[in-house]
Amino acid sequence: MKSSWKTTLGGSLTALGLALMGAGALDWLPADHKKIMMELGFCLSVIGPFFTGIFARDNNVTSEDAGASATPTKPPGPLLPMLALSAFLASGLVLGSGCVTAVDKGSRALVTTVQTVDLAMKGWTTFDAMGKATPDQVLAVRAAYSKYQLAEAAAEHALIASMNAKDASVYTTAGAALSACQADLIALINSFTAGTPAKTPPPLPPGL
Amino acid sequence: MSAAIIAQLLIAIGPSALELIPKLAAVWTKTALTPEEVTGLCAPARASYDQYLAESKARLAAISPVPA
Repeated sequence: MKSSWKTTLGGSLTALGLALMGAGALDWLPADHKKIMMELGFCLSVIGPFFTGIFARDNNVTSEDAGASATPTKPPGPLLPMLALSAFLASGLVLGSGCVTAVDKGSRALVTTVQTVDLAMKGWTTFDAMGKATPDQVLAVRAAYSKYQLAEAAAEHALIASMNAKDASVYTTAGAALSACQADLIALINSFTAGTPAKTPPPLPPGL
Repeated sequence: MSAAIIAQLLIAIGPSALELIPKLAAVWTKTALTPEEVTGLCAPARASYDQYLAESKARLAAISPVPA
């Protein structure tokens, strides 16, 4: 990690951006502080993945070409997709157009999460159907997906209740469940790439 | 849905995001979602892993011979 300071910096910028955006959502903060934190956080969460992407080594560049150390290293982690996806989801939580109520924000965030995971699962299971996933990877994704389904069901139930009751206090429950849902989603994406160095799921066939 | 968010989505999940973006744009341009719409849009979360796998195998079989 210490020799990959540029990608580390990119990840750190992204993490800082997400933290600022999260802190900017705190109700007790003055409005001007919230605005600055969200804007700065969003900018960092955009710059971070781009910075990481610029300096990360592509799949078709060998260690020898790049002059990397011959010391064995762990397979590349899922930091970039995990951070980028969480940045996207966090952005959806705070920056969706027309998001005026907490319940409305929650409904858009939940739908965004579900649709994103749906696409990711189509890609992953295509990879699995092609026989390219290891049994351990399949087990890990199955487990993560099961957890995600439980969290999503809880979030959806709470959100529908809050929408019907038009009661913002009910949304607190939905928000907590949604946080769990999002954490499980990140774990799912994490398990997508763990242990599959230099290989990514193939492009989806047309029409997916 | 801003250009920055679209860019982030493309970075996160690649070109496949081009399918997802119109769906999310449709959600985000609505003034508000009804409970029925939320339930419908969250329906994919009720599909099991085996259902996804079966659909993927069917798609692969439709476009190429099934791998041994």
